[in-house]
Amino acid sequence: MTETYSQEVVAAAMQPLAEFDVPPALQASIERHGQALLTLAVSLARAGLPEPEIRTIVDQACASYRDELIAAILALREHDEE
Amino acid sequence: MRNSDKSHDELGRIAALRRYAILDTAPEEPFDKLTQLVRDVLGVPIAAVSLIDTERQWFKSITGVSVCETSREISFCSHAIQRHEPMMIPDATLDARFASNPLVAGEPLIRSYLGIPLTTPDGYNLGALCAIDTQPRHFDASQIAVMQSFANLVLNELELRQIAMSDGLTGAMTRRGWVEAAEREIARAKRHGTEASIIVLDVDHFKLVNDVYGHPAGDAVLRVIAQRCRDALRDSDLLGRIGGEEFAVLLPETDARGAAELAERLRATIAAAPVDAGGIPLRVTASFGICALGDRIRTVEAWLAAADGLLYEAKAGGRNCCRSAVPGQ
Repeated sequence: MTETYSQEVVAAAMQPLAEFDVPPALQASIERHGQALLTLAVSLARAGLPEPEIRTIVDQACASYRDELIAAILALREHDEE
Repeated sequence: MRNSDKSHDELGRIAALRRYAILDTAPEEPFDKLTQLVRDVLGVPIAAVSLIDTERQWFKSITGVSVCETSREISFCSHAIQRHEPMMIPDATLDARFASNPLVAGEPLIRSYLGIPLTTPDGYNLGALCAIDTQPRHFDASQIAVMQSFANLVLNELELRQIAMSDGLTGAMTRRGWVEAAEREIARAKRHGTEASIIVLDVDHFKLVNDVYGHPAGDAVLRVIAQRCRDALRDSDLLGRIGGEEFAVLLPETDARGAAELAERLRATIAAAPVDAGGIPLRVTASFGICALGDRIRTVEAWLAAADGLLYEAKAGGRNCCRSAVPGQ
């Protein structure tokens, strides 16, 4: 599996995050998460996992982060409105 | 660039762990998902996010065994945090450090271990992400790389939690984050019979600052006051912005006298020098209410209400002063 494929897998997993109105305070976190997912995808490939499994693992790791990100955005908005 | 080695700065490490305000929090799906993935991908029966407290290891997430903490002295991860690279134990029964460990000799019969330190951006190892097998095992380089990637994801989740609990203007905790930390401190203090106190402070005549000099000046005042407070606090104390111009400080293991002394230092520090608000030197002061955790206080709301009552006594008493009490005594 090429690094290009890893990038495609991560980009697809991260796509839903692009629709969020993310406060500046959280932008760096999203970038770090994308980088960590890419490293994960590459390391899974090097460990010999098949492509569909890599896609599933990256999707799951991104989905749990997405839920936490939404909670963080709501918490920051709530605080700003207080 | 790697921060300077802080593996021997235990006080700093514990303070960093406190700042994340995660100990004794409820299970959270993102962490549970990552430990499940570790278990599935590496094919191990046990995986955990272990955080090393002063005398215990506490699991933010663990899969494969049902335990929420162990003593620190039998923790494998307490060894893993002494370094900045992965720690692998292929066979614990052959390792002098662990052969007689009760987790090896008895349940869950640990035989092999891989731990990746969870290192904060400022260089402290809070704990480790670990994979545990009940069979002897050598984890190869590709598996270690996978674990390192999962550890980076865990760390990013920890960072995300902390950002969500931080006030963007002052860097203090948000009200929600501070209240949750205070709830855990009440439970901890009641459980261990230790002291704890809070200080609430409110900037005097803050509305006037905003009305006369504008909101940027008001923001500068809040930023400077938060910084002056942080400079005077211990690493273990938690500063929160709990209202527009109201802050609270949570002081673990501090009695009423210690809290009152600290509040007086904070009051004097804030009043001592003007705040530079866009080139305009503004003299600001604050009023303080200090309340130790007495027997009758069971909730954060009650604790804050008691401290707020004292704060308003300080306001009524002329401002720029402190009032303290120990409820129920």
